[in-house]
Amino acid sequence: MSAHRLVLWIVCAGISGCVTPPPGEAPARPDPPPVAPRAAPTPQAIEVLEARHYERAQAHMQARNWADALVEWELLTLLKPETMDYRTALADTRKRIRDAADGWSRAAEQARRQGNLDQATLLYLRVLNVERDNAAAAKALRDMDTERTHRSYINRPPRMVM
Amino acid sequence: MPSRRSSIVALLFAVLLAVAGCATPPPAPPAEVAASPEEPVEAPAPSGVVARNDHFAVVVPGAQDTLATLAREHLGSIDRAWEIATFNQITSVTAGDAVAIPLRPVNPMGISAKGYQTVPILCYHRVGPQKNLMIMPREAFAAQMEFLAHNNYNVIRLADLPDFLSGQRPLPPRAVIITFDDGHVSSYQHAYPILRKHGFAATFFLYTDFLGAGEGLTWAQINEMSKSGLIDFQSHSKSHANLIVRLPGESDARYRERVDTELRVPRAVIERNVPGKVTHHAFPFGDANQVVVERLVQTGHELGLTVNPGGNPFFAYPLMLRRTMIFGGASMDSFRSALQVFREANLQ
Repeated sequence: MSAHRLVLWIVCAGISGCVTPPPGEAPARPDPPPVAPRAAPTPQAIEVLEARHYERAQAHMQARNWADALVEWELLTLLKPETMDYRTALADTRKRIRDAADGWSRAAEQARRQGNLDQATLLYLRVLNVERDNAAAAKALRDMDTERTHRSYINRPPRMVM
Repeated sequence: MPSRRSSIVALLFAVLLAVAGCATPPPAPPAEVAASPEEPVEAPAPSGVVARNDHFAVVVPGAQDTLATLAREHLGSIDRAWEIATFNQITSVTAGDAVAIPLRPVNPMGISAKGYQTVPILCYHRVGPQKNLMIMPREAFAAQMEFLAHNNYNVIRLADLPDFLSGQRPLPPRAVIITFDDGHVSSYQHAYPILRKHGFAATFFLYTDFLGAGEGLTWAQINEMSKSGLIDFQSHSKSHANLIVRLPGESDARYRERVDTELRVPRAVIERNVPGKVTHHAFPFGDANQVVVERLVQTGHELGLTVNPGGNPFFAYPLMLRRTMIFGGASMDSFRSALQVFREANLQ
């Protein structure tokens, strides 16, 4: 083998070794090209993003979508940590969420105790609509769906036999 | 003509280049940041990252970036590009325009003031030239898949469902799952080409006594579909017996043993013949009872699927998921009504 061919072979072997996927993995979609370093951002880019999300935060507050508003205030606080208004709005939204979630949770637990599972489901969903990481509400909904499914489908006559 | 010395230099250079390429570590995963959302991390800003904490990365994309490259770099998978698109209300990124990448799912359960997301699981059996209750005419199936493709439905994998059910991972809006029961050869002959045309994933539930003979799929056909990356194969029992029906005079112990066999054997057979894990089971006739559900868990299954119609919210019972049969004579209207992707409710 000549030196030229050897060089070509080594480069090809090296490259193919690098791009061969690990065995057993079915590539569902082609990978995007590797990411190259990017240019430094302009200050305007951040201001545009800030303005857009501030507008959304206000709209969510107006609509009383506290969970969505919280996400926007969290982002704005990251973008402009020195802006006291954002920190205040974040704290205020958290308090609204806590108050709303506490109220709905108490009502939901009461409905569940009274056996009104449809009402309890609705109220627990309201808890999660304001406080998306409320584990107790999510667990209550799962438990009720399990109970409901068992009641409706377990021990009923078979549909068909072969 | 190059000298022998220059050839050796070129050779050395090529070796170094090839080795260096392989030795370069893959892009590091996003660094673990313990700061609270209010405390931005003053780390170097590689790859256009201008701010970051454990909730968000704010990135100014370069000319080479797409939603997919950002998703791969920051969320670990291009399949999560839709999360960036949804949060930023964009369909593509523009170089120089900052985007916020939510590093934690913003709404993993799909809840809003107007209601909550539900995931319909469609259940087919056979597809073919004939039509009856269990055979979907090929043209009708093609029209239904066209309908999904042109109306913003997102066909997802059944394997994506457990993370949604546990509240860990959101699903794209209008998510739909396609399944086939039994392992009839028509699913390979008629349904698979249509699924492949649209790039739609589907789960085929196999009852293993049916395979390899008569009208059952062969392992060659199953493996061909598996290699496409679109179709996965799960269990539909060994014999297709209705597991809630006891045999005459069958004792409790013998019944449990039979249920165990119907759950374990297909799993072992499929795993022996096709790559991938079998962790989902579609109950024959959609029926299950307490014993079957208990054995399902004990045999290591994660999901059980019935044919009780309806969409599945995040709080659905994973061992008896709702699944809607699409019958051969179904009109397009009844197909549309099976696509329950959202349940309206006043949640304010």
